[in-house]
Amino acid sequence: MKDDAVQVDSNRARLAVLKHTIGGRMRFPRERRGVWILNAALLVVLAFEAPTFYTAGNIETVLGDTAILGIVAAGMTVLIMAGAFDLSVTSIMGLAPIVAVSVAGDGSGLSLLLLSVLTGVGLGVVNGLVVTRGRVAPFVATLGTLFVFGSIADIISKGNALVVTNPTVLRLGTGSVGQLVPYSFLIMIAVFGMCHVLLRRLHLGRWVRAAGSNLRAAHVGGIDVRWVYFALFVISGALTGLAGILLSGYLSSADATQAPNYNLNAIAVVVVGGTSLRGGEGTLVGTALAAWLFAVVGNGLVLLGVNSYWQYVATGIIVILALILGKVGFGGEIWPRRRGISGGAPPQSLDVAPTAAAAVDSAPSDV
Amino acid sequence: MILRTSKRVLAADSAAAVIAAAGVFVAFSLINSHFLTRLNIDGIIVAASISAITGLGMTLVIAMRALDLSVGSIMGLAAIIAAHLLGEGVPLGLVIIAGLAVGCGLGLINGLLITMLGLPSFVATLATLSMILGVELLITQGQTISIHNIGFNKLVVTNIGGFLPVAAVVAAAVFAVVWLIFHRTPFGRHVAAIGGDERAAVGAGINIMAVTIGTFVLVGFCAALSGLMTGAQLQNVDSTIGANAELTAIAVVVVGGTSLTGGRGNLFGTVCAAGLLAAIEAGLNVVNVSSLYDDLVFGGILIIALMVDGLRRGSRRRGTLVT
Repeated sequence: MKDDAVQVDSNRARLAVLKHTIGGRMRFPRERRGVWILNAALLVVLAFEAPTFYTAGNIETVLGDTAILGIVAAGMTVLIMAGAFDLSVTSIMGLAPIVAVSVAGDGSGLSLLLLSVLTGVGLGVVNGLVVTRGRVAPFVATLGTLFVFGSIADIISKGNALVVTNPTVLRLGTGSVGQLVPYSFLIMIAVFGMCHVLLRRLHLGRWVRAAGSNLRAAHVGGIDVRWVYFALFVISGALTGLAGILLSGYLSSADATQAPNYNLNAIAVVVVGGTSLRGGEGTLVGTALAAWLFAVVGNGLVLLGVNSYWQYVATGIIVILALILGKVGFGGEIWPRRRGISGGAPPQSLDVAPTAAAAVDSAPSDV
Repeated sequence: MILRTSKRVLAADSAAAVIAAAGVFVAFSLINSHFLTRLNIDGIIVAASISAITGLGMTLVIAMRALDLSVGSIMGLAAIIAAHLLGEGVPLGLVIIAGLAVGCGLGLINGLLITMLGLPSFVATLATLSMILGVELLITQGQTISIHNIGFNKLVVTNIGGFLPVAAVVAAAVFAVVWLIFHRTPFGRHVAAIGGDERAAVGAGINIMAVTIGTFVLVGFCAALSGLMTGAQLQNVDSTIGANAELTAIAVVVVGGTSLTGGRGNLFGTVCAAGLLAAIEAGLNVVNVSSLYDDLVFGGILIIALMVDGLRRGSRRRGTLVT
């Protein structure tokens, strides 16, 4: 019995060394493997079956589709790394441009853009306050604000779509550089760059990962987790407001329901990209690749002449495949078979992640 | 006596739902006497029954510290398949059995994805949410299917003895069964044990796989039943049935006093919260406020209930609060 355990341990050690050497040279982390393989497979299939995919006009469309979901998913990645969720993005994407258009519909493009982002910031502040001061878990807090913000958007727009006429906003939503790279995609690149700096170059990034991997330990370690959560919700709100006005420009209207299911889709993108819902670690590159993957699937199915309703089925299959591909292989959970508890485990922090406030409560009093 | 009872109500997890539901009922009846008319109350009972049934299943899933995001899609698919079969002239009894079987089957698929592949329940059911919606659209091609079957409709809205809609009886039966399962069987205790501490549950020899699969089959069954009832009530079925129902169901469960941290479930609170949601919708309609305000009120109650709850728990440990 004991020998057995020792044997397993030494095997594990060998495996770890092997993994380290391979991983160290190839920089090909397992959690991102799924999105890479699926992307490659799709692009190869499309090259043979639908060569029109590779025309400049089509690539422009796909990049445009990538951008808006990608911007929302970037904020969501940072939130999920900290162990939180924002389900209210769907409503913020409707409400922010509606506020902007109804306040400054005739104003300059810049004022519309700023107003939308600022509205997003304001709504993010509300989310942040409910989570950090109201002591509500992020998942349910943003579930509540999802209803509230959505309803407010409906009330302001009276349930109608507001027409967007501002040429700057329309150009931002539909225009592109050299008929190839949409402006919205450039904005997305900038957003990812900003998030990368936030996560890798600022103290906040370290605090995000600390809070995500163990909220209580982070608090005991002297990190103001409430402030971290608050800041992240504000950032996510701002990015969502930005994505909202871009989407309005693309659709040339601002509608309360213009972004249905963006909350769950953004989470799906983050997960497919290889960020764990357990929090503490994540990958922006993976998120960007996953957003591109989703856009390619939607576009590719149309080019292949498949009924567009298959897109929903394909999305689900991709989510499952990406996760399975990330689990297979050395040290993976599915094959070779891992010892110990197998499967069944609802993720540790997912749903709820004890709120920042709760962590503060449960901390020893001598802190 | 009254004081003690009221104290107990205030201390219960379901306090928020009970108080808010009572408050909403009283407020609307005072504002407008039409709120208490037979027709309106019947409408509230049917709507509450339908959302309560899904909520009851979801309560067990949340007690297990998992989530099922696919309930909305399961509702839609069950209703669509039922409508499709009725159109083909299949007898009503078989149609209902088929619809419920679809729900159980989809629940089984969810359970297998979670246990066999070790996917987090959130992600697995997010994937099936999308896939089932796709199947719905492929069946209906985006069209609406009409149900021309009075018997099906009567099964939901008929008043028994001119008093109680059948839907309420169905919901009561589901409540009784789920309550017995959760509180009076080893299976129910295992669900709560897994939600409380999964490692401890494994150590105690609980068959996590079987319990997880069983719970997801149960919630699939509940969702399919809700879907069938929705279809029977509306008589027109399309893929928007059950759209976003998963988030509403989670909200209902949470307002009912069940925490997402798992280990506990408050079935009675879930039923009260479902009643609350239905009363808000019907009440705002009666007092002539646009239905656009429904979500504002419900979301507001959700946030306030949780904040009061958080502050109540926080005040007990104020000494340790670090800001």
